[in-house]
Order: sequence, then C-alpha cells, then structure tokens
Amino acid sequence: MRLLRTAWEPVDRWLFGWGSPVTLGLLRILVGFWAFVNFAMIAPDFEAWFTERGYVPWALAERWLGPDPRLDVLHGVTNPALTALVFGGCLAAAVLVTVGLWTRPATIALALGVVSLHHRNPMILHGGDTVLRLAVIYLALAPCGRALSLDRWIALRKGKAPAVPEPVSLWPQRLFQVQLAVIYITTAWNKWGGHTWREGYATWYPLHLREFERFPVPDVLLTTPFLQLTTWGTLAVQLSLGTLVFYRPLRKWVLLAGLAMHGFIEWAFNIPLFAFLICSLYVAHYDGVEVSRWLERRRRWLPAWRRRAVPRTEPRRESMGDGVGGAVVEEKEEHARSSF
Amino acid sequence: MKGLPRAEPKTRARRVSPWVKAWVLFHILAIAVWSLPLPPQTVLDGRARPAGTEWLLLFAARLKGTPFRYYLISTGLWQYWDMFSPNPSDYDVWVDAIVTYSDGSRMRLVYPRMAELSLGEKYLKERYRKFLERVEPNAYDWVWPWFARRLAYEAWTDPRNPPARVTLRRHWRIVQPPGRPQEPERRFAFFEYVVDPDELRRMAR
Repeated sequence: MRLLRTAWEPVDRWLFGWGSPVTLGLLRILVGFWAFVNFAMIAPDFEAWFTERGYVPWALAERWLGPDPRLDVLHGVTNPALTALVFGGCLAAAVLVTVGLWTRPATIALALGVVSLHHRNPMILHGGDTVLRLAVIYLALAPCGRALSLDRWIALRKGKAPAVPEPVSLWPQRLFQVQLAVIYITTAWNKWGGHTWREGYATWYPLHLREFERFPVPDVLLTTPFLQLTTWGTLAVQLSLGTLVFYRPLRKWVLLAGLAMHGFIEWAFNIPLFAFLICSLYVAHYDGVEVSRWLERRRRWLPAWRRRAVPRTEPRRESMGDGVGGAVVEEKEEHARSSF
Repeated sequence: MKGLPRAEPKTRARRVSPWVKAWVLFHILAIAVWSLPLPPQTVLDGRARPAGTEWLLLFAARLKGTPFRYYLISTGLWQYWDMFSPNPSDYDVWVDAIVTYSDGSRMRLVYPRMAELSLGEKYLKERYRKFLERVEPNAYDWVWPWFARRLAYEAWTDPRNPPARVTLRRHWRIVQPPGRPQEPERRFAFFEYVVDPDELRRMAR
C-alpha cells in the first residue's frame, strides 16, 4: 500500500497539480483559430456535404454511423437552414473562443457544434478533424479563459481580476499532453504491423499517389537510403513524441523533430490543416511560466509604442503544481505587474 | 486602468475532486485502449493463440464490443490513429461520370480530381478525395446511388433536359514497389444509376 502511494504521488502531482493558466489560454487561441479556418474552408461546399441535396443526406450518414446513440444536435434535421444555423454558430463560437469572450459558453457551444457536424457527416473527416474535435472537447472542460482572453481583460478593467491570473488545476492541459502521446504511440504501433514500415520503404507509396501530392519532393528521397531514413525516422519521431517528450532535457529536440516531420508531410501531401493543428497542441508540453516568458520575449521585439499597447502576460516567477492533495498554499506570485 | 482597484488573489484550497481524478484516469485508459491496433485476424477469429502484446490487443478489441464503446462513440471522443497503416495505400484512384440526358446526349463530368486542381483548390477540395476514398471500394456499393444522384443533380443544367442515366467510372493504378516499373492507369465503369426525375425535381426545389 505504501509502495502504491509512493508511486502514485508523482503521478498525482503531475496530473492534478496547479499552475498558470497561460498555456491553456494559448491553446484556446490556437485551437479556436484553426477551428474557424477549418469551417471557413468547408463553407463553400456546405450544400455538397451537409444538405439533402448533397452527397451525404442525413439518412446516409445515419446508416454509415450505425445504430449507436450519438451526441448530435442535428439528429434527424433535414432542413438546410437549421444545419446552416449550427454551422454558422460554430464559426461564430470559434471566433469567440479565439478572442476569449464568453469563453466557457463559447467553448461548450463550439464542442457541441463540432461533435454534431462530425456526426452529421462522418464520411469526409480526416485525422485533423479528429484532433480538432478532441481539442475543442478538452477546451470546453478547461478554465481556458483565465488568461490571454478578452474575458480577463474586461475583468481587469473592472478591477474584478487579480493582476496575475490565478493558478488552475492543470489536468485539462495534461489531457492534451496524454492525448498527443496516445496519438503518436498508437499510430507508430499501427504502422509496426505493416511490412513496408518494418522493411523501410513505406514512404515510397504515398509519394507516388498523384491524388495525394502537393509540392514535388526531390528524386533523391525516392532512393533506398533516404526511403529508409524517412520511413524509420517517422517511426522513431512518433515514438519519441509519445515518450521522450516528457523528459524535459529532450523535450525541445523531440518537438523540433515533430515539427520537421509534420513540415515534410505538409509539404509533400495534401492533408489540409492536420500538421498545423497537431503542432499547435505541442504548446501543451510547456507550462504557463515558460509560455509567459516566451511571450514576454516576443513582446520585447516590439517597438516601444507597441510595447505600451500590449499588456504583459505574467510575472517572472510563479508557484507551480504545489497544491496536490488538498493542501492550502500561500500565493507566491508577484502581484506588482499587471497581466493580460 | 491605473486608478482602478485590483482584486487580490484569494488564498484557497487547491483541491481536485476525487470524482474528477477518477474520470481523468478512466478517460486516459479509455482513449489508450480504444486507439490500440487490432490483433492479427487469426488471433481475432480464435484460430491462433495470442502471444506477447497480442493479449492486450485482443482484450482491447473485445472491449470495443461491450457497452464501454458508448463512452467514446456517443460523446464524440472516438478516435483512430491508423493513418498510412498498417501499410500506406498503393491505390491511386479518381472517378468521373458519363451523364446521359433525356434527349440522348452525353456529357463527361469529372468528380473533383486533386491532381488536376490548382494548389489553392486542392487545399479547399481535399474532402472530395477523402469522401471518394471512403465510398469507392466495392464494400460500399450501397453508397453509390447517393453518389450518382448528386452527380446527376450537378449535371442538370437545362430544366427541359434532365439527366436520365449516370455511369460512374473509376480510373486507377496500383503503385508498384521500388525497383519495379510503374503500371499504366486503368479504367472501369463500376456503377450505372437510372435517375428518378421526380427525385431530381424534389432536390432542386
């Protein structure tokens, strides 16, 4: 029992510790932005994908999904005006989520809208859509409007918010991190079941699919040593993104390798938004203090007049993850400086 | 801003409810189990005994058949991470349709083909390729009437001359492994749809 408790304590501290909400705020901005772009890109083909005139009338989507009950505000809806209302609502909610206005209801509305639209037409979804859906669900559960939001800016103006964002429980941020690990470990595991991945020439095939290509890749990448490098390199990077990324000294290098891998995929293959979405979630691997320092450094690059206009984000130091187990802890943050 | 009073942060207990902790742990376990690959078919059918990690994969596969699945399927938390796996697709395919009108005239309609679109269009229209990837295999022949129906609707430009028949054709080639010559593209008419003019009119309303 004691051994179990000893083993549980660091997990408990990591998973349920408290800290700055700045990372969650940044995740909210990024996910909200990509959600908007995603729906804006589908909008011109709204009729083809979401109406009874289109490729996927409601009855077809229902048959495709099977009999299991699903969360779907569009269940049974065949009126295109109602579907358009939900679609437009998603676009509006994505804007509100991005700027952090009425954040909690906006994130819940966006999550409900995304899940419903994905259940309305599941036949056009790719991996990026799944990443988006999970991300907006996690945001709806998170106190992601406590930093970098208009809600906070308004509260600050009214004197109703502390100068430094109050620490929050970080489990929603940890969910993002664990979700990324699940994605990368299971995708590498799935690939390991294929002989082309084990034998080192899997990347040959997608690079020869004309319907899938975006920009041309150099012919040298289609020769044996480079095929092995890209094939086995993909497996190594994906495994690292699910494991080694949690080891802080290697974190930056693993994430850079992830960016390089997704950058290559984005260049070579036509998979819209997937790389941007998943790489945006990498922010979850940095705690709020680190993100604040990074934002502060960017702020210093601004000319002096702009610096005055852009509020500071965070104090220099902050207590992190020190409230595990229900202890009442004293606030240690520096309150002298205002933060957005 | 300067003159405004600042609210001081409250000193408060930093607790996470045991219920929230239990749910988070369950959720992590659930998404991990759900995303695991399937074991080999022989193990799944019971023709071979699982070995090593196959026990875990078999357990996960069986769990997906229990009411546990409602947690993920019903809530929108469902997920699959099998892109390019177990092996990347070697099947390059696109589709067009020959539309025969009531007066006997014919027209070729190309379903959006990524390889022929501009860079911007390709980015915006990728969902057409994804849809085709889902519905084109023979196992999904029950979707083809809906597919052809929409193409008939798109091809109906003259109200006095509606489409009468739509023939779907696939154009495909199998990518050969390194060191082998690549095959030429082949073509095959895989479905013929007789248009219901009343349905077409209902769609147009």
